[in-house]
Amino acid sequence: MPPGGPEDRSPDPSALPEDPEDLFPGTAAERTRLAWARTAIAFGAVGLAMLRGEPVAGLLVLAVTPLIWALGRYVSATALPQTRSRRLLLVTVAVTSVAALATVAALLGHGGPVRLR
Amino acid sequence: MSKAWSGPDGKSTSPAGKPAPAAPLPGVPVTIGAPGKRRRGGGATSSHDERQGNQPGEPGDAEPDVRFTLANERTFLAWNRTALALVVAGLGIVQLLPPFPRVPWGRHALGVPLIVLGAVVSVTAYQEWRHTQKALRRSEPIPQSVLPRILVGTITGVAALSAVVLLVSAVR
Repeated sequence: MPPGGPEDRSPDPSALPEDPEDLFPGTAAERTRLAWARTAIAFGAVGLAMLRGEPVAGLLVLAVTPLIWALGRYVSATALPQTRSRRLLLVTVAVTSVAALATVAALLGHGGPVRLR
Repeated sequence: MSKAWSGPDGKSTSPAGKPAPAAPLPGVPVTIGAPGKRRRGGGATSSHDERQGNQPGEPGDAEPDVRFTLANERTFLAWNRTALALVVAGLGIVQLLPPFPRVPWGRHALGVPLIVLGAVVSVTAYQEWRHTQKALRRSEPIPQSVLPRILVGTITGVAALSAVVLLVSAVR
């Protein structure tokens, strides 16, 4: 076969696919599991950071961390769409709750501008 | 091949052990946002997948290639980590910084918007995940994300406010 000839362009079944993921499709699932682990670690870090100023809020956030970790473990590639949607909604609810706790801590905590009398 | 990449019924989707050139899994066409509707038949969407992917009230929408679903999910998770980082940054500004001289409200003016932005980013990320998943199911173009604009706008505003607070505390 002459190099550069038209025969070279014929599809070779043993050639690497355009997207390496086609060859090792499991890497996408692995990357997603790692993303869930990073998210759980982020929750843990936020909880630890909040422990100093607001111990109760910090403990609450730390309690959510294993839940996020478990969610990541149980979200599989074959999960039903409705189940997946509910699990991701749980993450949003958790992050929004952390933000609400942080807002309360910032406004009402030590040295805050709003004083409860 | 990872277990997650077998079909839902456990069947391998890669025929004859060869690396599949495209779409090794049951799903919609590989081209994201292809203008046409999803393919029918041709093995791209198995009947099992159709049953699994159908949403109530949306007959005919097939669950997309699981790689796209996972990529969409990773994007959602990345935005939520960004949201958590914003919350921590805002809380750190309020609780860890010493008060600005002559600007007692400075820390709260800078920190609280970041915390609120964290909540907004998380909720918007979920909405965008849903819209993207819907577009993938219908082989429609992926909707453009508004999150970068929200993030850039708020961070620019907070940066400008930081400059004002620092100037006021230094000059006055």
